[in-house]
Amino acid sequence: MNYLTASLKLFGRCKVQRKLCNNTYLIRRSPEEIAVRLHSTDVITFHSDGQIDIATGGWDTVTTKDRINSYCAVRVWSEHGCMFASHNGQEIAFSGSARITSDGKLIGKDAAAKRKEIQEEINERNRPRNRARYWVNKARDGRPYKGTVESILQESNATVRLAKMRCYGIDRFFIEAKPKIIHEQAGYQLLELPIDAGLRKIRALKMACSTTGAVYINTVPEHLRDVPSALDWMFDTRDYLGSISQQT
Amino acid sequence: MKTIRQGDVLFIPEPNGVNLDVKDWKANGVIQEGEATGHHHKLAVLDAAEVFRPQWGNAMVRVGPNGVSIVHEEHATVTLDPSTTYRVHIAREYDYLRDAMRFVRD
Repeated sequence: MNYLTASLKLFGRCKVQRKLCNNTYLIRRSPEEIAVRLHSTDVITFHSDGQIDIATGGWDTVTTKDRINSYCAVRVWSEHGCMFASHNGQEIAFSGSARITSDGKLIGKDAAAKRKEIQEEINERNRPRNRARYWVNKARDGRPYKGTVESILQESNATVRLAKMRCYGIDRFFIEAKPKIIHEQAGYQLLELPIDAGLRKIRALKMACSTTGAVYINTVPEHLRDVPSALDWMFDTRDYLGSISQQT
Repeated sequence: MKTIRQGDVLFIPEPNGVNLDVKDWKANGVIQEGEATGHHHKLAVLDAAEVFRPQWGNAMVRVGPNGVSIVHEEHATVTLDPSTTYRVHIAREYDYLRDAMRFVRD
């Protein structure tokens, strides 16, 4: 449709307004302007000089796109939430509105540049997720981390930090990070290490093997407050220290 | 009858005994396999006790009238009381990365 064909539709008792389809009307706005109105938005405005304005009014919906595609020579679609339009082989990106000049030229942002911008935005959004995924997989595969305790503690992403800890070795990390001793009993120590600027804590039970003398660190949930409760959680018992007779 | 621990394995006596399923019986006498190191917690003498490892739940050790020693490559040997059934508990740890509990891999 163009200004001429639109004006031919407005005659007789429908000379000001004619229904085109659901919630969509062809309306004469002025002697030089005819608009296609969807609800309260003029999605297309035909000018007598051949210029056409398309507008979504912020309503980038399927219906808006359908009405523009149905009643105008321009084709519109959206990619990743951004509106694109093409006419006579020319592609543009637009936000809210665009214009086709009387000589058939689309005015708007270059589509290729906009696509590149969108891709960069997506990459930027996915970067932390990909990074976390990389470290979690590395931790699961048991691959080593060559950094230092300080670099782990300075890591801002909580998931990456925990994964790095696992790669570094929880035992080694706990011993080197100088944790706070919360409770000590019967040769066991309940240790606490604040992470996330103190918002979250990691607790672990430190014990030494009576046979080899090797020190073991066993992580326990952060709600456990003393050695007996940590031991009971660790071995799924009710009174570990009271019932144990022999340990090696 | 007291609880006995060998490394990451805890033997808790069951005073009332338990019904053990013969299909869970393990002929090799291995109570806990070392997934990471390859070290095993196993019976020193195969005939002195029976090991039952069901697919779900805790392993059980039914000790004969002469008692039995449990050996491990790293830890000192422990001796289980005669004519007693022991429930085996494996040490667990909290995985902060997954926010979940998991059994210690020896």
